[in-house]
Amino acid sequence: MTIADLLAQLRYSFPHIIVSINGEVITKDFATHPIPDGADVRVIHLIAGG
Amino acid sequence: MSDKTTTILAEFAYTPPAVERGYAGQTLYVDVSTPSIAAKPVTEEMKEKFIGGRGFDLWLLWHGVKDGTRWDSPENEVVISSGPCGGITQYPGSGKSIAAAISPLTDVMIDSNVGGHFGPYLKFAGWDAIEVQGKADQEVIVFIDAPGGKVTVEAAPADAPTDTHLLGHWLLEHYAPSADDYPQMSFVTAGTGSEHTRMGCLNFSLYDRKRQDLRYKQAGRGGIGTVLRDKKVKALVVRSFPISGDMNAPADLSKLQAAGASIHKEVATFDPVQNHMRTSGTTYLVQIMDDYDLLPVHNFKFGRHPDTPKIKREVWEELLTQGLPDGCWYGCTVACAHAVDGYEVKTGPYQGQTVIVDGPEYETVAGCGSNCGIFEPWAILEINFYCDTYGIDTISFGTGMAFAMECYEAGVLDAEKTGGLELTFGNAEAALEVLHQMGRGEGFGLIFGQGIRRMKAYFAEHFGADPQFVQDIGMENKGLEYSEYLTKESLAQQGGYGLTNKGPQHDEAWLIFMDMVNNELPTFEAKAEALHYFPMWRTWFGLCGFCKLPWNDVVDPKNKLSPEPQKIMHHVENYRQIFMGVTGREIDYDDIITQSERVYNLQRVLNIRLGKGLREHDAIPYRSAGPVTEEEYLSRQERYDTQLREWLGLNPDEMTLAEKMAAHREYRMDRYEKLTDAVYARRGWTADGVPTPEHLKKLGIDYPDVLAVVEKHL
Ligand code: SF4
Repeated sequence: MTIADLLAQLRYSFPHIIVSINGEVITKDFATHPIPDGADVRVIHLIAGG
Repeated sequence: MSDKTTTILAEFAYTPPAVERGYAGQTLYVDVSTPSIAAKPVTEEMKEKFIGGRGFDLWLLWHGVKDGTRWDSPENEVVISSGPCGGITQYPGSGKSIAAAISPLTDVMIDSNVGGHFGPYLKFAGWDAIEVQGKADQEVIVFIDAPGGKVTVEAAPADAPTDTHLLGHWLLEHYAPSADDYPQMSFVTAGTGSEHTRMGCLNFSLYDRKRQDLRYKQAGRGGIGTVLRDKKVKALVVRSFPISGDMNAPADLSKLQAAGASIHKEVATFDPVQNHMRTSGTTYLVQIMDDYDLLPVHNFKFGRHPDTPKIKREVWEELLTQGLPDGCWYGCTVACAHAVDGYEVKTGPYQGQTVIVDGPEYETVAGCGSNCGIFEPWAILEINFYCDTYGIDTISFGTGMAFAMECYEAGVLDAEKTGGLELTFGNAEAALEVLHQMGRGEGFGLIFGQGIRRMKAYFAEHFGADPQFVQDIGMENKGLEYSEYLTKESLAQQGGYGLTNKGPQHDEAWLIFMDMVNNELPTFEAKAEALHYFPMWRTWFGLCGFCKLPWNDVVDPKNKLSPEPQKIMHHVENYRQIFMGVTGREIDYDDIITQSERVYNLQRVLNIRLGKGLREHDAIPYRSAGPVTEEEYLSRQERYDTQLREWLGLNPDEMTLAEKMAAHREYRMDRYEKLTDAVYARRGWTADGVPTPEHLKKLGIDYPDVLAVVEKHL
């Protein structure tokens, strides 16, 4: 599964998102970046909106 | 061209002063009762402590009103000011005005941030603010003619229309000496709907050089249009000088240029892949809010709907005119102020006319669309056009209509009570008819136009409604209708709406993602810190003349790696540089927050002085905190049952639905009270929400008349 797959599954469509995998911040290539099995994945939404 | 036959009722000659470091150095006072006109000096203390914009509005209102002043008292004022940075052209979003008055909906001060040219033109005409007091005994127009060196109060002739799209053209014809002057003209108008309701908005015009026509931006919230029409003021008109990039006479232009260069590049690079504001404005939020279960649907019952794709960004991109520089002030490269050109009106008195519809913005699509179960773009455009020209706030209309529709579906209303209108969710024709009734001042539109708080009381008294039910589902706080975000799962945003000065408008704080999605605010103290910092930071835009959107809607992705990405500090630094570049005053980040705190706290004290502004006035309707109806609970049953297990250690399998709902209610409302305690403590207020004398002293606003107000409540 890639980061993009995960975000789509969660319906996380917001454009300002940070993703970290096992503590490493990933900023680009969400479409191809794989998520290893058992990884600690964190998704942070920045503020915008409103 | 200029074809004026009006009667001058008062005249004031002046020489427009040169603007220095963002200030003209005087404010304009107009009493339409007498009528009389005067100049008031802008003191160093005003600049130092209240900055401009909302701060000047507040200062003038504080001195203009009395303890017992109500929205329709003669001494209530309509005050408009931009701010020292308002009118610069080097940075996007730097031409905003703040309009303020005591609100017909809330009975306290309302402030409303708006684009268009009026505020900056007013300053370049020699005035940092305009203050309109009194009540005229006939229809009047206030005309600030800077090149002519005079301000006049004039009788409006009987043939002057009231609805904005007609009145604007009439004003151009009658007040611009020639077509060459059109770009230097700007008007503030309301409409017939403002006359008959409490939710009247102000329209601020801008002359669009490309379209060669007038456009309008709205100071929507809180009924300031109603106050203007109550004073029998048909329009405020300014004729300024041709615009240039240094009209603010900044202390150091290079600081503005450096900040501008970096942001323009960021916008050009990232807007096309982030929010697409340059093609479709704020409508990008519609689908995103639906994806996160945050889009208000059917009076905030639900957060998403299968028909949302019918009103998502791409639909609006098709309808909105593309390729024009749609900034609501010069130099705004974010340029989100789009319009639908050549729209043929389908209903009501202007049926068949071809008009420009300004917008719609996210709030209008969500409020007048999904929240009312309306997913037809034509209907949203039609409501948008009529709200603007009648001078009605689209947010109060949308949230109010959603409430009325739920009341209809719940049996509180029926066709007999509405005069034959079937106000079911999705009935766009019925919603439009209510809007036309508001314009005409008749039928159910008159009851509706009083706003949700007064509808609740009316429905209970005259229609036998259960007062608790209408209180729970009627989405207002302090009397102001909620703007368009679902808050049930974000306690911090419940506070962002409720623990406010003016009522539930998202421009104070928008914390839903930080709180609900990221869980970055796990404690009451963390939420309270956010409910201190963000409202103060956002208040500052309104002091200076800035638009909030370029701060956080388009952002270089490298910001994600900064220590506090939510604050977008590289943009905050841009604003700091601009403030220093314009005013010549050195400030740090703490000074920004302190400047806002002064205004925020004095506004709180003004509310207390007017008999509100205490803890009881920060209470929220239960719909904003949790599920009111069984239908709502069952629609998200898994979520709510899980919460009972995880939050309260209860076993939902052994509980009736009524017991589960009661447990949620008790827990959620208790949390809101605990949040209130934490926020008040962080803001330097007592448990009743009163700023303490020590806090006021620390902020340097411990004036005797201010202390006298709070001391009664200690
Ligand atoms: S970002 Fe949009 S609303 Fe803000 S100033 Fe620019 S055009 Fe106006």
